[in-house]
Amino acid sequence: MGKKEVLLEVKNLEYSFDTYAGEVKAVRGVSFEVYKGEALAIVGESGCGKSVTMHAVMKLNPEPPGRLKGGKIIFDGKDITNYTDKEMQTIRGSEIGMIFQDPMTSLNPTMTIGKQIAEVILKHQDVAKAEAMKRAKEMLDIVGIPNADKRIHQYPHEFSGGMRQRAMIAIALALRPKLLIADEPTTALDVTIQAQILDLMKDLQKQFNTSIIIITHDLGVVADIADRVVVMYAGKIVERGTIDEIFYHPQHPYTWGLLRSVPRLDAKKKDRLVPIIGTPPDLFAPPIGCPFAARCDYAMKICYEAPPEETCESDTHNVTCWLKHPYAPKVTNPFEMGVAADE
Amino acid sequence: MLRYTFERTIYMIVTLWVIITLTFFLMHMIPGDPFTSEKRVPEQIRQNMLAKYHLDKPLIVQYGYYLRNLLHGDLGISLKYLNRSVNDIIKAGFPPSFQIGMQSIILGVSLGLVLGIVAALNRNGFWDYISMILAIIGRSVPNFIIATLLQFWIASKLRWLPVSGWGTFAHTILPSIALSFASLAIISRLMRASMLDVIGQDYIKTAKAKGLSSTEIIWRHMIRNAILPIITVLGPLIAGIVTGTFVIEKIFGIPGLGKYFVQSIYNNDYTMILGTTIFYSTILVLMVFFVDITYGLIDPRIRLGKGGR
Repeated sequence: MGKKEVLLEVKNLEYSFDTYAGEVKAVRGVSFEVYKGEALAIVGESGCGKSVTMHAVMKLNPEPPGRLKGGKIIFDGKDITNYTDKEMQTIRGSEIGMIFQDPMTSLNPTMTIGKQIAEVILKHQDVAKAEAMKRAKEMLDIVGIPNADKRIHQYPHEFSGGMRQRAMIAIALALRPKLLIADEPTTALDVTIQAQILDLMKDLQKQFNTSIIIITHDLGVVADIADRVVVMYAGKIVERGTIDEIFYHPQHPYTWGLLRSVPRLDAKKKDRLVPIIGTPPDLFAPPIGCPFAARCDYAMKICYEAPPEETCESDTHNVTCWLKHPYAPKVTNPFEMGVAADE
Repeated sequence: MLRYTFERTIYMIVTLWVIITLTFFLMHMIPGDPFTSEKRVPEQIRQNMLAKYHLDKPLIVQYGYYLRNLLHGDLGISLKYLNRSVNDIIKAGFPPSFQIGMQSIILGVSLGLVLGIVAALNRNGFWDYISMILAIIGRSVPNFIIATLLQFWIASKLRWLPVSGWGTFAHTILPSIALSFASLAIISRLMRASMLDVIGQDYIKTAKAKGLSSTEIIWRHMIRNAILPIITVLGPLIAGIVTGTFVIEKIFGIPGLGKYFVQSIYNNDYTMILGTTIFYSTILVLMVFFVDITYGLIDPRIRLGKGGR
């Protein structure tokens, strides 16, 4: 496929929150990159640090208590790790757009939709108000909201949930950013609307050649939109690879568990949903070894004692697991796979 | 909107009628009559006086008389202040009370808002504590203490402003300041809480993700959303303060309305009690109406009229 251009590179990112009870090590050495024009999915259960990571890139975590402890963030060739809030303001909204989980609360209830879209245009470009409103209207057309002429003068409460998420996308993409970060964009929507929003995002990704990072815990969403997947657990990346690699040849026991826990349409009536037993580790005092060891069916002594290194399965597929060590017993994914990514 | 205003007016009139009726009958349940305090009045004269003011008639008839006069805008003759109608007394006393009241509201609310906003933005910081201390003082120290302290230091010691009296703008400054502490305390605390609530909202994160600066976020996204609870308390607050305060007006010798609210009760000055009550209730009910209208202007979700919705 040839060497693709890297848009965002996160190197060994460490992020903590200082609370009264102590330091919560939310992100502990996360590295990944996003290529131009691709869609990367970050998956993991609640509290695994996926949102914190992306908020850290945008510097949206409240600081304090949040604190960037280490690592590098390189966006479009610029090292933005130590950018001040003022410098970040030039990037937020214009070069990186962001949409959030709950469209019901993500729009200002006292401002018209048109003004909220125009605001981001006016902030970053030297255009007249009327021009900005005209472009806001065009954006509403693009994201598929009918009667945009009328709609720009309406308030968020006059929009349905799906339409509000469309409006959010209009805000995020108004300036054709190079990167769109979507933080669980479909979690709060019902299923038919989810599909529409994902389709819209895919369309616009092609149209504007935007890279997308989608944070989600919904593997269905991942299968639908992503080119590559990063699986996070307890503030670390456990496995990453292309969508086919993750769905058809998963290597990490956590990824196996995740895929197995997806409800299946072809399941028999008596089959129960399969959870991953146990709870994630306490991030006040993360385990020294592999964070997943306590819940892992294949945990060995070493797993509790030292953190595993990342190993390469292929150019694009990396796993962080002791089972990949040459001396480890050979364990293969015990579950029939590939169903979730089918179709 | 017109229809809404009309409906609200009807409700306001009904509310006022209930207040008037309750006050009227409760007031007459107080033992004694307006002339009890006048010692050794021959029984005949007493009867004549009662007759003059229709106080010898059955209560329900008196009530009828009162309502009839009220419909003509006549609040009656004061039973205590000879030959002065309640209308005249209110007309004379209201302007000073209103001026002091409005000045203190403007002062208290604007300072309170600023303090509340600054406190919320510097949560647990220096300005948060300053505003908390000011709020505690404002709430817990009675305003007559603040008033006398102001009189002592600013007027008596430094001689910057007159101690008391009425006439020039200078006379209004100290009472306005003394009176403003209470509203400053309420508003600053409320605004702080409300701002903290808004700061945590998702749309603030959206605004930040748009690349807006903190100042832009505060002005365009936070304040308008945070100010709603303030508007709510502002109605009753204004109604309470512009109709005069007994203590402050007494201390600074302001010829305001405040004293009539208090004195009319122990004088059993029936018409005066009713007059002041009606006056206060009318202003209160009107303020609540304005608050409701303002709500709609600020928050489109509670916008009224335009054919309902």
